[in-house]
Amino acid sequence: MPLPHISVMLLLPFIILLLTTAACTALGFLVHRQAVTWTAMAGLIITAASLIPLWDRHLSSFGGALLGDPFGIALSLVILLGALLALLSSLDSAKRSSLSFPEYDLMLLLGVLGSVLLAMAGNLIVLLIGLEIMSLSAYVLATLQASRSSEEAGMKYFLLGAVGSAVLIYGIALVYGATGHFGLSGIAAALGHAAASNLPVLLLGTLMLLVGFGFKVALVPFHQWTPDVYSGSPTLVTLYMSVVIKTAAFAGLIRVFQMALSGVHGWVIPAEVIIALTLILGNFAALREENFKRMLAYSAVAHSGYLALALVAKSSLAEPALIYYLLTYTLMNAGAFAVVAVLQRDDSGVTISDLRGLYSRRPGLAVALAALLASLSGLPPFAGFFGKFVLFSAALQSGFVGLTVIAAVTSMAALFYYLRPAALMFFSEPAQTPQLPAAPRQYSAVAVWVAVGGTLLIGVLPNLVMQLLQRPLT
Amino acid sequence: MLPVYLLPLLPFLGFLVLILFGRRFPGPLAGALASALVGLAFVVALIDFFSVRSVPMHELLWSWLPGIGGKGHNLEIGFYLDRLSSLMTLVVTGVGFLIHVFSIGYMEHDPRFPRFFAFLNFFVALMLILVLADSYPLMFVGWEGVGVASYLLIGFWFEGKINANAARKAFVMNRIGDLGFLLGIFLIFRQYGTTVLPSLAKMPIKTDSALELICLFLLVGAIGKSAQLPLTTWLADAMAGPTPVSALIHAATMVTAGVYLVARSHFFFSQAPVASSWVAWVGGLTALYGALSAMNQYDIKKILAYSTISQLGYMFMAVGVGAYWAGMYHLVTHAFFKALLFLAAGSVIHALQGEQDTRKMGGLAKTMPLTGAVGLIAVLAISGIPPFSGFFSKEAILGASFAYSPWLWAVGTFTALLTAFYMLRWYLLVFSGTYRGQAHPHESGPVMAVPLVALAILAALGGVIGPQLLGSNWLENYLKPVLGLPSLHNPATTELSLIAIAVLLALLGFLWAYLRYRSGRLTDLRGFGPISAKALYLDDLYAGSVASPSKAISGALERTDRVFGGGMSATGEVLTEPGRWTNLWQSGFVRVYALSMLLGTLLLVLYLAVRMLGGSL
Repeated sequence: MPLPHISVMLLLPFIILLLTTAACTALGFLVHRQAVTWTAMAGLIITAASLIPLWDRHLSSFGGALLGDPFGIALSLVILLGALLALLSSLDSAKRSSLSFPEYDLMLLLGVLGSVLLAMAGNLIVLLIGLEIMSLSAYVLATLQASRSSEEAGMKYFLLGAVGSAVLIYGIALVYGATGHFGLSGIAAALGHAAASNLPVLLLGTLMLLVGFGFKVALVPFHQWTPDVYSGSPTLVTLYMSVVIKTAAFAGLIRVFQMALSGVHGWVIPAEVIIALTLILGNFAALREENFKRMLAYSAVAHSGYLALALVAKSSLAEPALIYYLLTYTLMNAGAFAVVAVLQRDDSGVTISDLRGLYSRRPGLAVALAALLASLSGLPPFAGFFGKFVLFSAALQSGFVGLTVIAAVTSMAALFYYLRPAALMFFSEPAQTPQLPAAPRQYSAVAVWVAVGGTLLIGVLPNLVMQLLQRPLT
Repeated sequence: MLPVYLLPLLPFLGFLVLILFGRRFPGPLAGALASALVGLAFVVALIDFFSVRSVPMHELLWSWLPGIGGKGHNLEIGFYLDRLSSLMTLVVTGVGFLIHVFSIGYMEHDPRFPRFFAFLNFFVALMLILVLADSYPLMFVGWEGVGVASYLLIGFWFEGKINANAARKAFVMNRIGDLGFLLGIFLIFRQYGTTVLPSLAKMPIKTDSALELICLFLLVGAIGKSAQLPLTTWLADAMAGPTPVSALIHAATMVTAGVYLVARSHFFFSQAPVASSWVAWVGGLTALYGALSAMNQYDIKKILAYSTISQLGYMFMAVGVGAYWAGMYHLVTHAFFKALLFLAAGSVIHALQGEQDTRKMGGLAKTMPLTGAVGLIAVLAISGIPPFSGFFSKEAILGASFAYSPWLWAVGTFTALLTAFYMLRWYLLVFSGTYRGQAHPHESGPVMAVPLVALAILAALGGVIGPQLLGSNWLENYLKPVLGLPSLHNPATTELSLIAIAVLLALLGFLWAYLRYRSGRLTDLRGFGPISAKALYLDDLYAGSVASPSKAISGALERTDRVFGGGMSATGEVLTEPGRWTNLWQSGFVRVYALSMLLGTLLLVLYLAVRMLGGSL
């Protein structure tokens, strides 16, 4: 029996993540929680450093079950960045949310492990394992706070997540049944000479996969958990979910559909309908939302719509655009939620009217939040503008004119709900000065300014990122 | 030869450091840092000035949106330093440096000292981007940036409602101009397929109606920024800002951006005779308007503000009649003597603890001899008395406008008479006679005196760069490779008689002011007095014709709204109604959500079934 084909270099990031988790578990008994968080952050940075030499080497391991292609590495780095920002802002905000215990860091590290596994998966089984590690840790994180709303959010997430996973696994089974392969390249190769009688099974499996991933990335009509879970979970957890889990889920979605199933044609029209619904519903629902945290949740649904344009566009255009936008999205959303975590009195977040006159009380935070909102709404010179530009032009150049028009029009409606809070911060007096928590917030401030600086930098110099990505990705 | 990007980068670094860590800089350190960085930028500008004499420098920094206008049309960010922009960078950094130094003394007691210098550095950086931009879109970035800086600095003492309103007024009026500029840029791209200045300059440009329209749009932009008629009223209100700001932004640099825009776009304007005549006449009428309005003002800075409007009118006249070099010439000399006037006024205001009413001044030449002396030099320069700098540049403009149209020349020359009158009136009210106030005026320290002396030397001798008494001169020849075509020249005898007339009229203006001063009627212009004091009622005209009707309309709308039971808000309700439906669907029950998911899945399966039954699989 031949030995399995193993590349140690490619396994190194996972080993480092596992060791960090183990070390943090042990440290949790011995030292203060902040020390555990610093260890976790160091582990994440070392993991990122171990990924960089893999760039361009196209390593694979276990017969293609684990892929070290630039797509996977780039998205893994985005995931690590999101996790770092989450940990950084938790250094001061966690205490006020009564989350300051090592389990927060441990669960988060395990979630990152699953997410990176998902991003680099070359085979449906590995993909599923990564997805489940990530999801289970997310369910735990959502319930981590001893509060009614946190428990409710975690429960909802778990129950609906179970439905989503069931559909997804069913889809994997059907695709395997139709093609006889779990490996993504194997499936793509088998499509060429699949028997005609297998086609309905294959298409059914494909649609099931679309549903399963549609749940994870929050596409309409599988999105309804998002506003409830995002607003019910502690804000720090929402921060983590909205960036890390979304990036990983999109990595899986695009991998499966662009690498394995692009030869199947029947799913494009349903996907177009789903994307259009997501764009319209996500943006219009956010218009009426008075709770800022919940508004950001709807905005996350709307952004899933933009990101999902990469699902239907040509892969050579879609993948760089997706990576760029996910990086941007990670910075913008992590920054915005970190601001909410600083401003909130409890984990129900802040209402939009709480933001009135913020500039006169916290000028730095107000300027940062305004910049992040401008970026989310897609105004130049922030990265949100260029991200939309590349995503929309990828869809347009692939011939999806109607979808691009819907995306452009709905993103104009989005201007309203992003810029209204931004304007209220500057141009109106606080109605009755809401008491803001006076806790220390220097780490959150660093996270916020890293986010703002990052969106500005890659917005003004998008080629810093795009030059790396213009290479053939797969 | 140093990289061009250093020029805006140095002051921008100063801005970043001071806005982020301003509190770490005690005492005058923040001002010293800001001044040093602008001074360094001046050194860079000077080194590059000598190296671009032969070849222009075109630096492409990066391409921001590749392929945005189709294949090969990238939106690139780059700087272009040729003889024209190099001249401007010298003015911006040189005069900017002196004003920065002066501000260290002027603002020393201000609680927001570092923030003031942060904004000032920000302004210089953005102004340099405006000047150095290699394309219209980048120029627009600088154009808007200096507008923001101006807004922030006019409202710097934002405690007063008047200041905040003045800032807002400047902002709104500039938006009208910006709309014109933007439309102009769009049209340029539509017509010529590029917005890059050096490429456009090389293109053969034909006279047609589209070009005239482009130039008129650009003129609207220039009018807004340079406070020309009819968008002129914001500049007088902008004097609410600290005096160094008035000197730097609202006299020497930002407001001249309109003139620079026209000169920079000379390849368009020289082929657009109709638009150019508009430029010239807007300039001529504004010059007259500014001078008439300045005649009976009492605020020491308002007089200077209206005189700035008037002098900007001269520059517009010059670039309108095709004498682009003369416009730039006057821009440079004006930067010297007007900055000097404002700083002298600042020195007076500083000495009198914030007093700005000239009726409570007088006799200050005795207690503040240096300020009085430099003020007199500046008055002689602006009034066009030889051999001070303003004389040469004004002659260049008047000569060119005579060759273009004697009527325009007549307007300009009459304005010169008024200029001499109101400037001497300003000097006599402030510095001569006996002191009429209660403060104890005294000269300020060397940090304010040195910039005054430096500017006084420049205002007195700055004319040497282009005396155009007979035929050609250094500045015109220097700018010829950029601006190309030769400007209009008069025969020598005509030129000499024009000069004689203008100088005589200026002296007559002085005499008029002095006689009124002797008879004690300097502040009493009888019938014309109140008209001038209200700036020819232009503000009231706008209040009546624009503000009141729009207030009335909005009032009427509000009443209608109430009558129709909140019809407007009902419309809003309808528009966001879909948002409410989704919130209904979002009931919070897991079973509903699970049902939605399953229904969605079912629909997908149904779709598949229909396709299979239809046989399209």
